[in-house]
Amino acid sequence: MLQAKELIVIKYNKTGINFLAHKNAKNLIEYFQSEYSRDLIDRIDFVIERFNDMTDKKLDFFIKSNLTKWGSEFLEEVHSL
Amino acid sequence: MIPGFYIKMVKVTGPGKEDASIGFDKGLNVVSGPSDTGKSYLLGCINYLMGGDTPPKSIEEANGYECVWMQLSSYSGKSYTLKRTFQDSNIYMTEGEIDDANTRPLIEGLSSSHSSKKEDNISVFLLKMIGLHNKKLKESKYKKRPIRFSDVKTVFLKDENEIIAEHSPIYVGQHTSVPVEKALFNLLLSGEDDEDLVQAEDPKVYKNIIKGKIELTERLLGLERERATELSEKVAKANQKEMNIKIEELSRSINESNQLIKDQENKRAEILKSIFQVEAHITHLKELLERFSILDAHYIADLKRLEFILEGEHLLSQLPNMPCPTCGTNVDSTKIKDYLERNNEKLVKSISRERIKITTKREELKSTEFDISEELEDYQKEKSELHQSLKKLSILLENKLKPINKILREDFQKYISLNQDTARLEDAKEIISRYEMELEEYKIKIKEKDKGERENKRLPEVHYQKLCDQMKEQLIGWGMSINTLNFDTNKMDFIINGKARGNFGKGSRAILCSAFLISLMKYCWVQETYHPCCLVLDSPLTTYREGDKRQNEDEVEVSVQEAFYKDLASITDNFQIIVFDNKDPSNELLERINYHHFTRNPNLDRYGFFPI
Repeated sequence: MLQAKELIVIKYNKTGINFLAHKNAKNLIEYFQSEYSRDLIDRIDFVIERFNDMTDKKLDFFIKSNLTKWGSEFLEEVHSL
Repeated sequence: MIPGFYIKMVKVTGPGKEDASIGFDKGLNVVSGPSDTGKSYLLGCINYLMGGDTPPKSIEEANGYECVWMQLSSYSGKSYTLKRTFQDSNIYMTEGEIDDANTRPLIEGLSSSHSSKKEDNISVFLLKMIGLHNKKLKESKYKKRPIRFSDVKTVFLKDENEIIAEHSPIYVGQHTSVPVEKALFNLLLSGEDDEDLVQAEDPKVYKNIIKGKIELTERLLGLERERATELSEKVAKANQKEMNIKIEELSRSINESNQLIKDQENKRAEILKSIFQVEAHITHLKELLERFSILDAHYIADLKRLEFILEGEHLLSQLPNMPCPTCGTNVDSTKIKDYLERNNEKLVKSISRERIKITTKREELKSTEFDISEELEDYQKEKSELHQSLKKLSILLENKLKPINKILREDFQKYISLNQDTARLEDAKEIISRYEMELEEYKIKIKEKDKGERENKRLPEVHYQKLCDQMKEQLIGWGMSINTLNFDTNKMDFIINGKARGNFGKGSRAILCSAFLISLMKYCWVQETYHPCCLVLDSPLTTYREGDKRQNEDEVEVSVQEAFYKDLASITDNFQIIVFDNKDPSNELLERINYHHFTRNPNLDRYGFFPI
């Protein structure tokens, strides 16, 4: 559906299937006003700022080296639910 | 048993050297010849093999020789071969004759010095042959020691200097050894050693010991008396009967107090247990509340998400539709619109339903949270109440019950120790009386010691008399005129015709010394005491001359000389006498004795001890 509304572009290449935001997507997102969407956008901004400059390899290393820390956090989350 | 031994052969060997040897036998052996023919050397060999410190004085002919051998035989027929090199402190021994010794290894190494503790020395070996091993000799007024073979040597082997010595023949001439030599002489005469001599304590030492004991006892007595006075003062105040009642009372009170404390302590333990349980409840509830707050956060997030979905739906629905990106055909927009509208309605409906559901749940959650919070508060209250009662109880225990108990116990201890003091006083009195008795005994002992020293063992006169008779007979047999012959027990020497032996001329002293040694040997044999039954005399005749021939006083008169040899030649096979002298026995005796003559003439047989 996202494709039908021209919100994403699909690129097929050597690295596999890549989903890119369509230029229309930015305009749409700007219309979202709800609290939930605002929070989501803030978090996405943070991720972009923090990880944009990293190569795939670096990202992989970062995740692996922190996995145990997050893992226990997630575990607690699971238990408390 | 026939104790003793005789020398069968002496041999000196060296690498590349012809053996020098000389044989002996029971009875009389005479080795005669002028000076420098090796007679003294032979004597030195015998001495060296019997544990002497130094090898024989080296002479020119002995150069190249380095080992000396000797065969000893017992009178019961056993033979032993001894071997010692001039550098060795050990003597090697084997059973058997000297001629067989080369085919047999000389295994037994005997030390040349005496030790009564270890038996592997020549001294013990020779003493055993005489039967004197382990005999004790009195060394001083207060000491005795085991006999050594070197003690016996004075009555068995005399060299040319010793034989003319002025001191008694039983002495070696050293002041320090006199008591031992006396003791040995007495042992040979009586057959009794000083084994049963009680080693008396030196009276000075003994006195000091007693004095020390008295001092110590007096000091202890003083201390004990002090203690007794102290105790009796304490005990005097107390009444035994009252004391017992008090002790009983106290012990009852203590028991009660103990029980009280125990009860309270049990209570306290119970409270502690309850506190623990309440705390567990509180922890549980707190955890529950925390989980509920997380749950609520999730509910809120769900609500927000629902709102977001609605918004998304609203925005998306306003976007135009594009041709199908895969096939490129246009999708029928009215159909889609219908579909979407229908769906949208459904979605909005279900979302609002969902919202209501979640809100209800949140309300329920709030009420449960409230309940739990109340419960928690109750528990908290209970907890603080429990803590307070615990505190009260502890104060009661620590500030009241226990101090009372302590005071009771102290009181009790006081009475008990008083009771013990009574018993201690009895003890002290007993100890005091014992010390007093000991003190009396010591005081008596110290006085006794003051009276005089203990008597020395004295040999009955009869032993000396018998020996004198034997010697007189001997001398008369040698053609000497003897009127009286007595033994002087102070000098341990003989008085002949009223004249001390030491005052005679050299020659006479030698003859008298020989007569004494031979008499002693015969005497010991008859009395069945101890003697090697072997006698080695160097130059008994050389210097003797009868008193009336003034011009050459020290030459033995021919008649005495002949009588001497004649008498000794008739000695039985129970003895061996070896005489080294430059005087020859008369020809008629030669067949009856074992005779070696050294000529010192290279043309005549035999030149000397060593072959040339």
